[in-house]
Amino acid sequence: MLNKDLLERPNLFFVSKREYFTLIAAILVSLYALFNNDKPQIDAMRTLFLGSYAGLQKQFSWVRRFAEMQKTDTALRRRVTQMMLENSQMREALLENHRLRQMLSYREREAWSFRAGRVITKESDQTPVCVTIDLGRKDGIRANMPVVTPEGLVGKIYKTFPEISIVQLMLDRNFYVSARLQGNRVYGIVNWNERNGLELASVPRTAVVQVRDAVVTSDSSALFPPGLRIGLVRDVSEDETSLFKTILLQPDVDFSRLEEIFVITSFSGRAQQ
Amino acid sequence: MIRFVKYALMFVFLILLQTTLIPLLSIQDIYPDLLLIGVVITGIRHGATPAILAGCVVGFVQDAAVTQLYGLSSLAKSVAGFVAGYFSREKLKYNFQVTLGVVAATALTNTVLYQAIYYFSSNISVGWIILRHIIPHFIYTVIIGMMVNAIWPGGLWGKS
Repeated sequence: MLNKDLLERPNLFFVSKREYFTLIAAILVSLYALFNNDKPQIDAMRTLFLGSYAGLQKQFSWVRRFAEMQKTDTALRRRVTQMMLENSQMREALLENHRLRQMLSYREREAWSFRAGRVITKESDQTPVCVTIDLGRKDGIRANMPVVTPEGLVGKIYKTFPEISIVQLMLDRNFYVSARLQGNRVYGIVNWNERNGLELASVPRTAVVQVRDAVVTSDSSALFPPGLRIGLVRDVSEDETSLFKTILLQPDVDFSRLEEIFVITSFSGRAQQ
Repeated sequence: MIRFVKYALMFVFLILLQTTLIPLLSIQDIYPDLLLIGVVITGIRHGATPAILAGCVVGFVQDAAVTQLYGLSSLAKSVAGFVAGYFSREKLKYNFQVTLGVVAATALTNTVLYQAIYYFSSNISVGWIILRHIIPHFIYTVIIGMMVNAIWPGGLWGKS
């Protein structure tokens, strides 16, 4: 009788305290995942969850698109008008460019290769720093390929799965891109931070920077083709204790309304690795 | 088994709402967390153990599409599930104040844990994180939780 009681006691203990043991187990599993984000087992788990999650949302993404249609329509009409004006100016510039290239015997730049994709999931519990798109390894998508919209740079491919990929947006504080001012070719690093938003850092105080200057990707980046629009300068300030200016940017891309994106699979005749 | 399927379907429905309709309700990138309301319902109806398990799995699903810190939502929601379940053990009576207390404690636990770890290595001030992220997320989630409670009286407790 006594032996039986002793045998049952540990069982009773585990049953009466099961919520604590469950909590400890859940915390340990979560911590294991947190500290092993790049392990294949964790990747497999993500693929499993992401496959069902993304598949489900793909079926119902029309709800969000439908609700945003009115806003998108107005924005697109404005954008079309603006682009028509820009287009006419650029056509003139293109003709002039052709003439000058022929005169200088420059080699024509090879066209970039794109894959068009659609955003299927967005992070929905805070500032979105990544989105999932419906292009994957089967479509020739590889990590670090640049992702753009007609407005400009969106981010880069962070992780690929057979049929979907995760895009790291410029709004991620771990995202850095080498950039320059379009006008006077001042170079810097674009990065997002919580306090200031999108910022062009490492620009010396001696550089001349004005509000509304355009910022584009620089030609010193190995990942991004040069000349991709990033944003406009919205504020410039100087701190006497710093060697650099504080330059805040307004991104060209509206990240809250990302729907269709393009992945640049090769540029300047160079295929992405 | 039927109960498990019922709750699985509830979470699928909540994930759908969270990813389709909730982004339309965002205010300055602040979103209410419907999945947390699901964890609260599980906790106060069935206790801590199912709530912890639900929080853990739902957190992993929610985290599947993030670039970093995979497992963070799972960690925060597991602990939040424990907090929600703890109240059910106390055999509290169902009324507005108690529901508000349970939802608030759960939402606060989830938000504080999530934001504290998310911004742990950044050089952003604690005050900024509290004002810009923790309080707005907490308030918005509590408001939505209480709206669910008002629309579906006793629904969180499984009583009418």
